[in-house]
Amino acid sequence: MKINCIINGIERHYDVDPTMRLRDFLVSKGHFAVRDSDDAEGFCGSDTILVDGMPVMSNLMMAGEIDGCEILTPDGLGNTENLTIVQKALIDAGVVQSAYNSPATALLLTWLLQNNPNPSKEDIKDCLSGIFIRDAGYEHYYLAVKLAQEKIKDGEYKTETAPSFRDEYKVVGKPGAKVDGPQLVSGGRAFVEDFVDADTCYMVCVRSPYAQAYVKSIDVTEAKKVPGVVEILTPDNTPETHYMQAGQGEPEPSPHDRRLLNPKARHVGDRVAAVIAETLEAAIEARDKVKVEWEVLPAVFTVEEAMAEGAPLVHAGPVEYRSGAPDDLDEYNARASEDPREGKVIYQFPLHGDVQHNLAAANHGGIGDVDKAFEEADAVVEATFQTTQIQHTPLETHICFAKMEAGRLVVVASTQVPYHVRRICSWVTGLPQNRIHVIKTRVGGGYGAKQDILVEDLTGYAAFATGRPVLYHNTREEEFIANSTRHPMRVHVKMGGTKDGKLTGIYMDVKANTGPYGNHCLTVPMNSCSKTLPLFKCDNMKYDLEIYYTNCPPAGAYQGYGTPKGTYGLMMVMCELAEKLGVDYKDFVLQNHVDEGYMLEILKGLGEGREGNVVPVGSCGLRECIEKGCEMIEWGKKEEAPGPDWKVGKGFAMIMQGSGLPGLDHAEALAKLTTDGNVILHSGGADIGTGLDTISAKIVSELICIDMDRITVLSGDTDGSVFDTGSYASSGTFFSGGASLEATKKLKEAMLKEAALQMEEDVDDLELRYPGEVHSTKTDKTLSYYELSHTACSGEGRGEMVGHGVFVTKASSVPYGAHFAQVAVNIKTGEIKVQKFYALQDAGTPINPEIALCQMYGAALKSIGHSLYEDMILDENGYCINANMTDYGVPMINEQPDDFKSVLVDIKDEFGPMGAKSISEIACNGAAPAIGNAIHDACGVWIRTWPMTPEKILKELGKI
Amino acid sequence: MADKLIIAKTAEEAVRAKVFDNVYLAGGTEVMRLGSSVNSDAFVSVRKIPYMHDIALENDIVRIGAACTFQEILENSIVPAYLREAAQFMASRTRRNMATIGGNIAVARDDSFLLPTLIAAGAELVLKDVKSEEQVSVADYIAKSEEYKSKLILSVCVPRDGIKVKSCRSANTAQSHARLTAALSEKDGKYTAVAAVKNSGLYILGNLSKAFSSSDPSEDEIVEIAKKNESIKLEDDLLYGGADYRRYLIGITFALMYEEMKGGRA
Repeated sequence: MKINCIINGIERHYDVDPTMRLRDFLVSKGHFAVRDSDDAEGFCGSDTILVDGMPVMSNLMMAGEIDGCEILTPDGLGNTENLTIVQKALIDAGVVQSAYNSPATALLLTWLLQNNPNPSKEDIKDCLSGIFIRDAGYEHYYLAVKLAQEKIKDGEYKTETAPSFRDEYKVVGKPGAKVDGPQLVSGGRAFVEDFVDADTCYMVCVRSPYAQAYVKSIDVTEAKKVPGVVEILTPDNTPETHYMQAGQGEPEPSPHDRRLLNPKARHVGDRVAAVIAETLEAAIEARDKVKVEWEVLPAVFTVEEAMAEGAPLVHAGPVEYRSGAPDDLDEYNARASEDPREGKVIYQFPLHGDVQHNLAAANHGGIGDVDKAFEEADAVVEATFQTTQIQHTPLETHICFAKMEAGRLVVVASTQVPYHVRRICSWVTGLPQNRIHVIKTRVGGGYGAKQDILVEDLTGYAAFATGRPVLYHNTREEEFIANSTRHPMRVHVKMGGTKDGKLTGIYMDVKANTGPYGNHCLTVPMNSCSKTLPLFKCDNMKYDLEIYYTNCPPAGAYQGYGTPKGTYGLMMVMCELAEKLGVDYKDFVLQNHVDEGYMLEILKGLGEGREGNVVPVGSCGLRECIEKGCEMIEWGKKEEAPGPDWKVGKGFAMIMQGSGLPGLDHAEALAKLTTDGNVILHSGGADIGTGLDTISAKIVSELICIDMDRITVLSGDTDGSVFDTGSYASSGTFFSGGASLEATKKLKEAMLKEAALQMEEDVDDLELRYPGEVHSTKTDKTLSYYELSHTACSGEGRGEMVGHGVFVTKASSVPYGAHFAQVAVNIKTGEIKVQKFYALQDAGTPINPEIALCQMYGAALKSIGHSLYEDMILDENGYCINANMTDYGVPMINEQPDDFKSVLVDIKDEFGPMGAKSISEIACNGAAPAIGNAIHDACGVWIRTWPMTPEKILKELGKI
Repeated sequence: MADKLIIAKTAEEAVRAKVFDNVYLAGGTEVMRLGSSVNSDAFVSVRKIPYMHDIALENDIVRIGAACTFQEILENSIVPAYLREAAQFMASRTRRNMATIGGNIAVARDDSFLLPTLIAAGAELVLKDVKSEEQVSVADYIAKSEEYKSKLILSVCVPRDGIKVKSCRSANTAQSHARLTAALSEKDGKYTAVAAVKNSGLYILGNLSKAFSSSDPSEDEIVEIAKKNESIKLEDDLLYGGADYRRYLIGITFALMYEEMKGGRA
């Protein structure tokens, strides 16, 4: 069909297949910022365009329908060098983070302001009602509109984008332009899909329809006949190497319990074969022709089922240890299955697992005497909390492009851990690491999901095995069934206290469900204790932790790790105990939280499978967060209900996290002065949209005394940078930022040393000063960086000035906070409305304050979603019945609390770069207990499972 | 999806193109959406038929072109407030810019945004095929879907005055499929209660309608009537809730709407 249309102001004439989805057509014409994150579900809004001036979802239209129409795509607004007012305002407001939907939101808000120059909050909410944002929440989109309005009207912003911190710095602690903001908001090439070669092949996976089954045979005869099929990978033609997919430092506290393609499927969606073909259509056709003969086995889905005597085993093969094998291992393995399809489980060091009872790992420990503490208590409360399986739902589903180039494997990945990707690709291909190049692109949402190497292993192997470029991209359904998720956990808490408000003892019994493989099986559940118990000034604490294999979809890293679940149980029991003791919850919390200098003995047993570091509490803004939050929410004041059937209540929870893993994490960076006197910083860190590259640039700017536009940060490229364990466990700012600081310090030293030689001055008399020159405090002579560098790199020079920074530490900089909720509960319908949510956090120096605030909004809204709406529901066969965005239930702008505030409490940390601690992950921890306690305050019931639904409220109220 | 797209410029063109199993395509939010059950050799797009976008008041009846989008309905003050309220149930503005009233009726989902309201209001449809045009009630259209499904919905006629209609939607999130969409109307003392119950069906609730019309039932009585209504087929549903919960929800929802309609609550 011939169509005429105008796209982004230019008349076009095309001969199109009219039934092609409009989005596919636009992408084929180069408008790749029209993205797809829901497989045409009409949910996320990544595919938004304007047709004849009206926002529509291009996936839901056919190309033939635009004949005679005028189209505007997100890339039709400004470009990186010429941003529009709205695009710039979005960056300045801090909402351009992982940014997969930023171009679409820029388009929508541009449309809004063109049609309604003075929109109300409701108008903005309505405009963004079809856009899913997971990283930054929606609160600062209101700010972005306000900024844009001010710029249009007055030519400048009148409103502060975020508070400023640290007067001694020029850019650190000040709101400012995110270095990758222009590229991301304007829809420039940024994500893996934007870097795929024209001759690429497509890979799709054959997945198990059964929760547990042996592969009896795989017949690929018919599949191979499909034209364009290049290769079909099966367990028979792929390596038997056992490994794990967790992105963790080696040796990992996760068992090596899987192969690239397993001959035993252990969950619905487990991959057992992969088809590589020259077109996606051919790959799908061939996949559907692969015949797998299954031997279906009984399965277990819950911890209780997995623990039961005689339960079906998820891993029945032998166990090996790389170190610390128990003496009775041979005897143990004599009881193992001899079926080779079971494979084996290899522990790097003992995690106290017992696979013959589905136990993947365990840990037990404590301080003092809890039994005695409970005896001495005036009241004891004991309760069990259950959390369900939650998905990360990044807008950009997992994707990887890999190819062989000059005998090397190039892996283009959307990952939080490029160096771990390189190591694991090395394991599965057998290539040494020098022959593997991992390039991290911008990451369209990670939240821990991209800490695991879930698709890069197989895609890398496919490219290596076939010699062809290969693209793999998860569907949204695969994102649910074949990726990592948040561990479902059962947290039993017992807590005792005295009438004078003193906590006497705490006991936690945690049972976690790791699913079929043990990625992070110890560390994630461990955080339910290690990032909660150190909140309490209590001499008697004990924990028992057991993690079980089941046939659920796999669990793994998720922002917050196990902390949200431990906090949920502990803070709700603490609230209940306060009520039982007759003391005010706020006073009870204030009396029993840790403060600076308190020695955290409990940490001894809470390492990552090793002995933990006992350290005193460092900088701590916990009390200030609690007191300020109580003031803001007017703790103790009873609010008016919004109607006769509504009850209003308030709750809060104190929270903590970490800043990387002291003693385990490792970060490096290289800073170099270009020959024109500017700086390129090669960071090993992986900016996943959180502004890490901007942090590095700001550090360089402060130390080298030059403007930000004279600094380029290149990160996440294993060839171009130096080693970094990656962005996880809240390590980005603290570790990778710390490495950037160390590298910049070294560069500064090198510059001063070289300048001393060139200027014939003493190093001690020289300083670097703005806007980029060396100055002698003795002679007042100056030397420009251009001259300095040019001379150093000339024929007689001593070479380019480079600083190599390494950051490792045993110091622990813990971010603290308190989250507050005010909810209204309808006692007739069970409906819950979060009226107010205040997140107060001590993050040390917030280097990018506007970005930090948005991350707090994003994480808090995400955890509100976990607490109230989100739940992966499995049927009796282990099939996830809501593996799509609509049914799964993520919060969007309509679910955001009416009054939502993030507050940064000003605390400077001793150890973090420029006084910074981590910021984002902790914000996942408070919503469940804050909301749960508020529900109790409103209507008297304790909801001890999440999501806290109207049905559960009504049951507790005795209505049903 | 289809192999062929026919873009009709008039209703006549559209009905002539509707041969074999060709399917009408309006906003695309259902037909083009992931998981759509609609498959056809050809789609007949009616989006560009101007007449089907008209909204007009004719003798206290508002005639709404079937290709009018939810947003067009929402923004048009001629459209009665009760229908605008129901159109707002579609939470995404971008989808409201696409989804049409005709499409929402034709797909007849059990979590329909509009059907309970339209049926409760006694709305009628103007249907067309190559031979003729006819007007049928929305309730009949749904009840006899096999008879009418090949016909093009040209317009929807809804009463503007003399009737009170309240609607309510219950869902996990604003964007989730509704577990319950309910509507209650009152005209000259006669009530009609309609419920779309996810994974169950669309019901005109005779016993509740009768109770409201003939007596002044209490909240507890309404909940009991709903609980005992055997015509509503409900089983425990992993996604949408237990049967007891949903029966209670139907009851309490109608009780609250009834009280509000009587002016008992704001």
